Amino acid sequence: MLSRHQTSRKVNKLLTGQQIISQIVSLGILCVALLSVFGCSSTLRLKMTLQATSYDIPMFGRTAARDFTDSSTFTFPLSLAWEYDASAGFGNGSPVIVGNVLIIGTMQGELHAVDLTTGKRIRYIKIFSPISSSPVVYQRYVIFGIESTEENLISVDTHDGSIRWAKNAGGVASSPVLKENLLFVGGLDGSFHCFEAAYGSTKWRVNTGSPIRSSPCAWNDLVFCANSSGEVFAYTINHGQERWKFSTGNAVFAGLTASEGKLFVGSRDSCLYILDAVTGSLHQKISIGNKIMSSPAVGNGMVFVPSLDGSVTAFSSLDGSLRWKFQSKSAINTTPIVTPGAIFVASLDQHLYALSPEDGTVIWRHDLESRIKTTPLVWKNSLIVAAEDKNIYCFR
Amino acid sequence: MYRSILFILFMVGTIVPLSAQYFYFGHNKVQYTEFDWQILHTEHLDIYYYPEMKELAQQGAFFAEEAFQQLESRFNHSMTNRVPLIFYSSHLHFQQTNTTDGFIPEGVGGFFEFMKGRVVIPSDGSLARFRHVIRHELTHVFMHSKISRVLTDHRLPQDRMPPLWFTEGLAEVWSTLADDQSEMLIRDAVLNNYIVPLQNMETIYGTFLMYKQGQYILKYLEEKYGEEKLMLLMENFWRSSSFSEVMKATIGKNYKELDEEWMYAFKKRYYPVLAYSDFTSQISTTVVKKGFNTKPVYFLNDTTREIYFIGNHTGYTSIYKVNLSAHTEEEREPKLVLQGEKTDDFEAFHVFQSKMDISKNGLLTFVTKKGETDVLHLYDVKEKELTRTLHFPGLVVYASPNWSNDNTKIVFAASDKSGKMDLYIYDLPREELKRVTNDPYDDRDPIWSPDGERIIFSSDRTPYNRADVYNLYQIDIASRSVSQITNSEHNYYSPSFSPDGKYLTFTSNIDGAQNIWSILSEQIGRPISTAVKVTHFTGAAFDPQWTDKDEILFSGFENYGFKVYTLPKASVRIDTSSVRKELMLPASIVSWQPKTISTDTTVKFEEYQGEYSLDIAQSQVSTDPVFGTSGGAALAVSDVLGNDQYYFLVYNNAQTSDEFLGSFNLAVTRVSLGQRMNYASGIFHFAGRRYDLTDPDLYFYERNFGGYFVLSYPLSKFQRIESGITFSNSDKDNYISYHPRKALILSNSVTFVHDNSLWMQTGPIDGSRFLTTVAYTQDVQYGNVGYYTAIADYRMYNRTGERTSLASRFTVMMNEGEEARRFFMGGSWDMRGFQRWSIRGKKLWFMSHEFRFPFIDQLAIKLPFANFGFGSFRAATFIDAGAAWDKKYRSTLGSIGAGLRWNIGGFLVLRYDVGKRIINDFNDFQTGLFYQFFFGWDF
Repeated sequence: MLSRHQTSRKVNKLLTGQQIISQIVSLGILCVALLSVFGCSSTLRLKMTLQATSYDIPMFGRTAARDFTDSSTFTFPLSLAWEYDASAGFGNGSPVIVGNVLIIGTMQGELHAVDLTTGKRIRYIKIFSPISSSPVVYQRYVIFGIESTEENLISVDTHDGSIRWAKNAGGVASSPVLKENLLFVGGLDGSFHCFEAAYGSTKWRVNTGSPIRSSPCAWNDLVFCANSSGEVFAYTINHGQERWKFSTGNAVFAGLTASEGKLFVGSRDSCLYILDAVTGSLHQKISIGNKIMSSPAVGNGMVFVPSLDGSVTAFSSLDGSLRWKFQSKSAINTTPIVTPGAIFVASLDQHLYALSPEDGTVIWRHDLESRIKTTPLVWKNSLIVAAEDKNIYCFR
Repeated sequence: MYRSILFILFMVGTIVPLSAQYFYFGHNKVQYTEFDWQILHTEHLDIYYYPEMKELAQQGAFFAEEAFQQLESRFNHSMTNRVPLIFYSSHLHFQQTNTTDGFIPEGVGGFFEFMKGRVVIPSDGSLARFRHVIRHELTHVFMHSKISRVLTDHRLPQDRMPPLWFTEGLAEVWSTLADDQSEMLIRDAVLNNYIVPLQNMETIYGTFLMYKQGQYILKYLEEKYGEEKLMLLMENFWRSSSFSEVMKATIGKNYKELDEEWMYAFKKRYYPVLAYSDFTSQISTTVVKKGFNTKPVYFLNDTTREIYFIGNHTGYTSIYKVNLSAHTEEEREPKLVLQGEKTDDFEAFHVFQSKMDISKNGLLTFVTKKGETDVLHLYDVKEKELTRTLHFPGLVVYASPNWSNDNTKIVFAASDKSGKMDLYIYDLPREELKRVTNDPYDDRDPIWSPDGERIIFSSDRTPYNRADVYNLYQIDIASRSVSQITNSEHNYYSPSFSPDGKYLTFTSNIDGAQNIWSILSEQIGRPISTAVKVTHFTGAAFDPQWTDKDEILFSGFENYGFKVYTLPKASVRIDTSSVRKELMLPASIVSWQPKTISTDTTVKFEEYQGEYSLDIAQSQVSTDPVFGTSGGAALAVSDVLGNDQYYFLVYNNAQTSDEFLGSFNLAVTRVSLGQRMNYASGIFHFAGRRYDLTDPDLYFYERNFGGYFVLSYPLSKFQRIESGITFSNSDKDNYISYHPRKALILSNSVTFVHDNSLWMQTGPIDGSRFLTTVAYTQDVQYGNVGYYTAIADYRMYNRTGERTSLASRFTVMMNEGEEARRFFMGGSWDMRGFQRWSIRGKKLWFMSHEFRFPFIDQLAIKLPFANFGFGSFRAATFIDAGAAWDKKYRSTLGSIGAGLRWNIGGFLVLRYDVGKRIINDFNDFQTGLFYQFFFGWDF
């Protein structure tokens, strides 16, 4: 309790009008300052201009054909360089990298930009719907899809954080593909779209008849997509004319991969289909033994096929002969990454594996203590993976 | 929540030693069996089992790991924690589990308890069903984990799960192929128009129909839209709190749209069945319509034709009799022969598992649970008395006894602690038991051949790479050689010979529905025989038995009920039936071999020592204008088997800082349930201001610390003895005397409890409950306290109709001696119309009569934005009377009135009573009426 003397002093200390105004102004300046700091943080306004280099991965699978190879070399064991807490879950869409910036969407509806050297967040923006697939970086724009039913394909200008354009692509759960200045994306309403990447204007659109959850790919003058009825389509890039159609035995959720004139399709009927990319004729149908939910990887003369029984099976890309089979302890729904010295695999058994390309033996294994359902990235001798514990890890 | 309440009750019990027992009845979960628990660690699972069933545990481990891998693929998800599975080799052992506080009904095949993530599964002798239940429960485990993950990823609170029809439907769809039982029910529901749309699923919440509809609807979605849609429904679960909207986002249709589609598809599937099948009731003579009736047997009692069967007409499963020779409807009404589920002798009937049989001299033999195991009863229907009860040491579950023709032997199926269901023969004159089969196969429904040299039975030993196909076999008693009678991928059950031995009838699902078929006895065992279809029912027929009048007696499922029927002219039907199937037998029996977990490096065995984990952790801070602020925490910890429980309570209710240490309250309790004698012990320290409920002017400070020990010994499911001792130091300051009251209190009590009541939605409706307690509480140091306590509380429920009852209650309570506490009554729970706890005295008597009846069975309100379903409303009229006094008897009080009770969610009953108080020694009514609203079960 205050003494009587102290009470009097407190009572006599009245504020003058000038002092009140002064305090209000100070408070206002503080608010503006706070807004400018934290408000800015919520927009993707970068201080540098994004410039793609040959090391970059501006879309899922780096190129339009979905190339999951990298020339980086590693010395094992790898050690953790940094980890970044995104405080939100990740979908199956892996991050993209442009310049020195990693960009990833979260199930909380945020797009995070992270400095690859330090692992510190640069900025993030908040969208109103979860982002489960990989974004695409086109010039200074980041284009990503969300699963809402309206304006679900959005292009954000990284210079000022404004929305460049927003279109309805039918609800986007798969990763768009960019070929030159054209953006291709499949919708959950079964529609397949071609947009001009710069302005979002629709070049052409077709209806496949069943939801598209598989990430499309493009090769030469053709773009390929697959739907939940197991149908695979080839359209001409510029006009959207259907070149051919092929039916697998079950829904196709795995992304498509094209390489050397062939299209590789993993189906939930547990088979890998190797099709002629030009004609759609079947080269080979290989039974894997369990459902395939993620894109096959092609490299080093082999095709690497992940499966929900936890296996990665390696086949010769020439004749489809079995080379080896690796078995993890739980389902794999990520795509292997092929480097000269190792094949990187991430599994729901919470482990990262580096396998020998020759025989599939384990060279290195790391327990992340968290399930991994996002395809890792290899970039400049760094291995980057987003895990279910809401962290992104960088190993070198 | 239950544990918190239990804990609080224990704590209250330490303050007022007898309070916890005053109105505490309940059946007993008796731990008859001492289990020597072991653990089998596999790659993903920890399996708890006891040594007698080690082989079964290893087989279960194989099923579980196999299911685990397949479910990872189906769910596209993995488990991050090891899953504890607790196996029991029989349902009787399963009923003793402490992993759940509640009682486990006969129909429960296993459960997943999500607080500790435990899966608890019994075997019933069939490895196929064991595998199915393991897969079913693991599907729940995966689904729960997947949904949690989806919500976490989207940073949503984990406060909801998919609707029960989806949860159970998914567990069935992903754990089994279509089975006879499911097909029977869904077909019957469609043809009898009681199939329920998704929009109204809440009306059949928790029922078997809901489970099966869920299974079939999801199967339909799988086939029509693709299996991945079921996985996507879970991955889209975050989108909306309305599962109808989640379905719309996933398959493009909400509940309403989907209902139109699947219901039409089901009608197209099943309506054509009527072109070649009939309702059972249209073709057969219905003998028993009312209630739930199975396992009929026929007996010619001199000249009276009688049928005995197991039925449930009142809520208690019992044995009934119908006089087929009677001429009037009334005489043909079923008569109760033996009341079940009210006494220890007939504690439970295994109504779907075990048939009955009756000898030529009128000895009815049947199985019930009695104590730890089943027993075989022999009841003389002529003398109307129980003549013998047979118990076989080492055997746990018995089923389907059958008399030999000379009435000297009984063959039956039984399982021991290993869980294997095999055949046994008991020789009555010699009192010898012989084991006939000894193998991992499920052998059931045995009968004697007419020549008495063979046993015909149903078994799953068929070589179809599946353990869920039952064919008919015969075993030569002398040589023990087994040969096949049928051989196909269909199921064959319940063989029965015609009186002349010419026909062997049985049930089979050869053409989809379970009907009665027959073969000529002379063809038994031949390489080729011909099965003839006898019935063409849309429903299902069970347990056919021949009478002496060329008719077949059986129980049939139709319109969601089991009735007893007779089918006349049976031999004519057999001889003229145009539906026949050739049965070809292989040269020799090749049976499947059970798979078991391989003992590689990932598999380890060890003895169970006790593994504890947190059950509940709660903390709270509260403020009250009178009592001030208090805050504290409660923790409950138990072992994985639920046998050992610890409760910790700490709170402080200081109102000023200098009171802090003096207002600390702490209690630790240990409860041990792992043996027949349950006990609890604990220590406590309670301090703070108290408000004596028994005296509204008494507001005092008390510091009370000490310990207690409580025993509870169940004599049976219905009766137990409890005893407790509390030793505590009590310092009480009532603010009006200069010297605080000190006492070192020792309190002893003994209580006997009996409860065989049957409950409906708002309270008991049949049976009786009785509790009596004697206790003595004394201050052993200062002599300040010393009083006796005697309590008697008797409640009986006279069933006046299927859902009506006259309930009566008589209660007497007495405390006599120094500082004897007062009892209290008043309010909705006893003396209605009076203020709650306003009638107080050291002596108290109370009596109440109440007529209970149904009022509204179901009330549904549909609004544009939501549907509300209300449970049933019941009503009552009542009269209460009683009094309470200290030394001199005061006035007798009473009340009369009527009320409504409403059960919400199965755990809360709201009550509203209107009436008049009776005052002035029962001479006057109050003016006006009283209106009283509260919560609580009927007495």
